[in-house]
Parts: sequence; C-alpha cells; structure tokens
Amino acid sequence: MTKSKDSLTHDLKEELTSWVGLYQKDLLRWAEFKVSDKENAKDLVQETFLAAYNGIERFKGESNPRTWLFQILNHKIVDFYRAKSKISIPLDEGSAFKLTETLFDRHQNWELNGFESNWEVENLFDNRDFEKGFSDCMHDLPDSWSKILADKFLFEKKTAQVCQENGITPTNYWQILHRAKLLMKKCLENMWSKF
Amino acid sequence: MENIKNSLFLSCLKATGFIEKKQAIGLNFTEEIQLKIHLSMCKACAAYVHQSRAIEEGLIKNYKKKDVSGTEDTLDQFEKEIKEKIKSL
Repeated sequence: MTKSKDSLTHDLKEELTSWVGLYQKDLLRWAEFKVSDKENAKDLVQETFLAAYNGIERFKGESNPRTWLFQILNHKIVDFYRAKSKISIPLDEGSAFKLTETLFDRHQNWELNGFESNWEVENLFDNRDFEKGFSDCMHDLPDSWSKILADKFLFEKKTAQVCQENGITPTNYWQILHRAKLLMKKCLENMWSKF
Repeated sequence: MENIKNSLFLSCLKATGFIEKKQAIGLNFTEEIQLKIHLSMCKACAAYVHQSRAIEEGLIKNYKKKDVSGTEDTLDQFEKEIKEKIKSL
C-alpha cells in the first residue's frame, strides 16, 4: 500500500527540520557573501526555510535538498536586490558567455586591447580601486557560475562533489570556471579603460 | 594542410580553456603537447596564466572576506529560531 500524499508531505516536513541543522551554515555563508550583511543574510535564510516548509510538496525527492534550498535562497536574494535596486542584478548566462567571446577575434585568438601590462603589476590587490572594482565585477557573474566558484573557493569542495551537487559534468565544470575567469578579465579591463 | 595546422595549433580560446581543464580534471597526452606548444609561442596566453592566478586569488579573497558566519553557538541559536518559527506555522 502506498502512502497518501498528505502523509508523504508530513514526512518531508519532518525531514525539513533536520535540513536546518545540515544546511543553514552553507546557506548563511552564501547569503552573507551575496548581500554583504549579516542581519539581512539571516533573514533571507529564515525566509528560505519557511518558504521550503510551505512549499514542501514542490520538492522532488530525487533532487538534492541542498540544491533545492539554494535555488529558493537565490530567488530570495534576487527579490532582495530588486526591492533595494542596490547593485546591478547578475548577468544571465547567455549574455555573460557572449561578453567573454568579445575578448577574442574571429579566429578565437586574443584581441589585444593595451591593458596587458596592467596585469604585470606586483600585488595588484594592494590597489584599493582595483580591489573595489574586483568585487563589483564579481557581482556581474551569473548566479549559477558564482555558485560553482563559491563551492570551489569558499566551500573548498572537490571537483566530483561540485559536479554532483550542481548536476553538471566535469566538462561543464572547467568550462564554467574558464568563462567566469574570462568574464572577470573582461570586466576588469573594461574598468581600466574608464580610468 | 589547414587540418594539420588545426590539429597542432590551438586557438587562444581553446588554449586558455585547456589551462582550466588541466587544473580541474587533467589533460590527455595530445592536449598537453598542444598546450605546451601554444604557450611557448603565444605571449598573450603565457600572460593569461598569470592573470588567471591573480583572478583566482581575488575570488578567494572576496569569498572568504565576507565569510563572517558566526560561531557554532550563534548557529545553534539560529537553528532554534528557525525551528520555532516552523513549528508556529
């Protein structure tokens, strides 16, 4: 005999309470990175769990709870910025990809732009303008890319784990890292051109 | 001739992709040779290796800088708050 829909929902709700302990830390770190504010980050994570609780029937058992919670949180973060219209909303993957292509000519070799030597300075990050520009550029990265960078550089996860949790192949993985770095390069050189 | 050229020489876009692939999952023998040849001939890509490292350094700095999550105590407190809210729904 199969369980009724209601009792399944009930079981999932029970399980969700255990997810709080399992995933709150990662969700908080991510939210703090995205909104740069501890209190707002806490609120967003709370809202995420409440939304998850109320919408538990939309959780498909086969997907990873962590991934699902991150999706809800990312929606909350977008809403947060829409409401504040503070910083630009991240690029979508398509436009980001197209922007990285503009670094290259039609043979896919570098289109040199005169900023090559700017990179050769020692201790780039001692320059406050550069440091500020760098974190602004990070906000342009599409969310899905930034999430993968955070898994690698903040959560220090291994390649296999990042791929599994984000539902991507190892090839997708290095290609996203590649494109994300190119986008950062594009954005930083663009910033230099305005100085 | 064009085919031989293409199989030996990578474009800069491909070469920089291989730099990333090498770190993430490794390259096969042919790819390794192709990348070596490209980097020995292409100044801009050799410079990109350095740029890519600088970008990585910046990413790590930025992600960790904002990683101000509290101690286990505040996390426990936070967990309690959420669970209470869920119960009260």
